[in-house]
Amino acid sequence: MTPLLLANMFDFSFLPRYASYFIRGVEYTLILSAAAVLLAIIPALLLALMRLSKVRALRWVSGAYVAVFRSTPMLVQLSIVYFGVFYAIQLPSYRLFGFIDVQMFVPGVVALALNSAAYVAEIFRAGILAVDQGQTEAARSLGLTQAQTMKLVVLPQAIKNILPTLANELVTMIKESSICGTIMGIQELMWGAKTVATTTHLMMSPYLLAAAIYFCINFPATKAIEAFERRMRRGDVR
Amino acid sequence: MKTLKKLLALTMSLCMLFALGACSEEGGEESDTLILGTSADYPPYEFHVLDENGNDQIVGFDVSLAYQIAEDMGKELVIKDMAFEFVEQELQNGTVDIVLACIAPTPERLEMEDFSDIYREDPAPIMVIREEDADKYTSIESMAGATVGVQSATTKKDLIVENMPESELLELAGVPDLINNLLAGKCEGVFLDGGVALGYIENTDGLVAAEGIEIGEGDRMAVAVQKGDPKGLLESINQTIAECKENGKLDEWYAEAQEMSAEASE
Repeated sequence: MTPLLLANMFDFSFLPRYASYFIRGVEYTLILSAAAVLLAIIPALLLALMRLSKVRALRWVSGAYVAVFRSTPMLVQLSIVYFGVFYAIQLPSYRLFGFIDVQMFVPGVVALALNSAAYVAEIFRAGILAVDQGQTEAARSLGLTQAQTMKLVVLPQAIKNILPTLANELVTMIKESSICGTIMGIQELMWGAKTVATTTHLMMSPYLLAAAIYFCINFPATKAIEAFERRMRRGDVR
Repeated sequence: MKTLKKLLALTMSLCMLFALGACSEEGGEESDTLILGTSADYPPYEFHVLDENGNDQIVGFDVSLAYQIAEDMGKELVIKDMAFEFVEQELQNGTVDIVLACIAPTPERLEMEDFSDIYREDPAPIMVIREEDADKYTSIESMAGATVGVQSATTKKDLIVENMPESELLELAGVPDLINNLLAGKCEGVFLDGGVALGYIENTDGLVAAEGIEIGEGDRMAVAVQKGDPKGLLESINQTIAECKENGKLDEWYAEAQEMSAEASE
């Protein structure tokens, strides 16, 4: 409707002066999302195994966790974790590597990881279920215990199904982590763009740059995952 | 399962280390820092810039005063930046000691927190509109039914609700998002503190102040502390404000902040 927004749309004069907000933002975004996904892996594996267990109570607990975290918005979860849980748990003010503020970083990672654990658990479950039932039967009839079967036969084969999807979760997390900037002011990429927009009174171009950077991280990453997936499939062809 | 156990043990010990570190950190620090809560998206009062070394820094009129307040107390100032709507909550929680964020002691706020003496009276709030609408919106009546953008939890929002009951409210946390909505034609006006509005009008093409729309008075800004002032800060704060009023430092800081904001937008 109005050409006002378009007038300064491609005004990138804030570079190179404010480039450091974006560089730091990328570092922060990557550390935040990688930490969240890594932290989510062990609880997710436990959740997946619980989900597949014979004990009904365990199945129920895991199912409930996954249901709650997949059916509520990330923004709500983050607000509850940051203002609720981490109001009760007071963290010391300390800076990791000189720029990561623990008081914001830890709640951010925990909230993202709690959410991610639900999705990763489903990834694990699907990966484990995709391993042919005959493999379990063969292992069991060879005298392996149930735990041994899981550890030595099923999980190694499941990893092939799991890894590409897990990498996709990291890509999702890189994008999702931007809400940490909105709620708690973690200085990730989107926060950097917003701050530069405020300080320079340029309303569009900082966001365009942020979009370009997100794209440049995530698009090659998805391509790499696809290639990796093909490599993993090589064994499937007969 | 052995590796899994090892991994679990490692994570747990890391957690403990963390908790232990937490204990040793807290002891000495508490009394010699003053934690300022603010929302640094509000030039020229509080905003982010880069210093000569390219490091992120929060500056502005409020921030200069906060540094002086801390210095007069013999404490080190720590700035905690957050969205405006959370500033008062954190003050009530006690996670910040003082708040300077262009806030006015309204009756509602006075019930929840205590305030210092007034340190600045802002120019009256301004209705920022698009230049093309300058002839169209010349009075409150002419804007009846139009969508007006306001920042959440501000006195400006209350003023619009009272004085322009027919208008649609667009309520957002951040001023830049409001300005974007205005530029994109999603709302007809944005109602802002005078000082901040002037910054946007000067630095953004196509925005003007609506002549003839005068609602409310300029905010009278004060420093907020926890209700009942349990940390005993108010006396020292009021003394600093009185001194800085007298020796002209407040005016000096405001001019400085305006310059910095203009310079940052170049």
